[in-house]
Amino acid sequence: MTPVPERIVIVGASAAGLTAAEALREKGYGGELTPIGDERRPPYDRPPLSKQILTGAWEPERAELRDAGTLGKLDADVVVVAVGAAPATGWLAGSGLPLGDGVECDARCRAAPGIYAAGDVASWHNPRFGVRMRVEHRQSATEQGMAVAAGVLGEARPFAPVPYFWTDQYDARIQAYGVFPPDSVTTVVCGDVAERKFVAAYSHRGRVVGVLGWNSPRDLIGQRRLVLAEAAGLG
Amino acid sequence: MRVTVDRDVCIAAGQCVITAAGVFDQGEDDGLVVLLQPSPPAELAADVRLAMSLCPSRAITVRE
Repeated sequence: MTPVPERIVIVGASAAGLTAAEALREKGYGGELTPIGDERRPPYDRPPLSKQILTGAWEPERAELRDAGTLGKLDADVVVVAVGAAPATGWLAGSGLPLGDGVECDARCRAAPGIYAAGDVASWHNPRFGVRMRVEHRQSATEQGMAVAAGVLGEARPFAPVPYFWTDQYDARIQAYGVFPPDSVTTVVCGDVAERKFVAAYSHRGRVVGVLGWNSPRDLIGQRRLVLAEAAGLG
Repeated sequence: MRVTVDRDVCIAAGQCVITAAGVFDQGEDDGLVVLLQPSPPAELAADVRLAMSLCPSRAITVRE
C-alpha cells in the first residue's frame, strides 16, 4: 500500500492546483499542504485562494500566507506541478505566420490568407472589447471552433464572444462572463457578499466589461446583459 | 424535435438559456437546466441545436 504523504507542495495556485488541494482535503488528507503561486496580484484579490477567509467561512489562522521573500527550502514528500501551459508555436517558427502570445489572428481568426487559428493557441482581436485576447477556457474552444468553421465557409463575421469560465471551489460555484482588467472597479449588483451569493460587475473606464457570479448562476445570466450593453473599446 | 436534459451532468453554465431562452430556463437556486419545451417548434430548432453544441457539460440531447 502506498504510504500517505505528510507534506505535499502544489506548484501553481490557480484552478488546477487549488482543485487538487480541495480534492486532497475532501479525500481526508490531513497533512501539510503548501500551494505556491506566482501571481502578480495579492491572493485576496484572486477568486481561488483565500476567499473562504474573506467570507468568514474560515478562521484567518487556517491558511498561512507567506510572500516569496520568506520562502526558503521546502521539504515535501510529494510535489504536484500545476503551472498551466504556454502556446506550442515552436513548430511554426519560420513559417511566416505572426507569432506572439500564440498565433496572432485578425478579428475573424485568420492568421494569413487561408490559415485560421482556433482554441487556446489563437490570439485574436475581439472587437467587442477592442483588445487582442487569447482565451484558455473551455467555452472559447467550442465557440471559436464554430466561428472558424463559419469563416472558412465564407461567413464574414468577426469573432466577438463574451468569454465565459466557471470553477467550483469547495462550496462556491464561481462563474464569470467578460474580461477582468486589473484596474477595474468592482460593484456588487445583485445579492449579498455576506450571504455568499452575489453577482459583481467589473467596470473599466466607466463601462462594465465583466460580471462574476458567486453561487448565483441564474442571476449571473440576467446580469450578463450589462457586458453586452456596455463592453467596447477596452484597451 | 424532441429535447431531453440531464440535470445530473448540468453545471449551470446557462449557455442554453442565453441561446434558446424559450426552451430552457434555470432553477432559481442551483441554476441547473429546466426544460420548458420538450418539443420546441420548428422555428426554434436552430437555436436548440446551437444550445446543444455550446453546452459545456453536454447535458442536452436532441432527437430530430
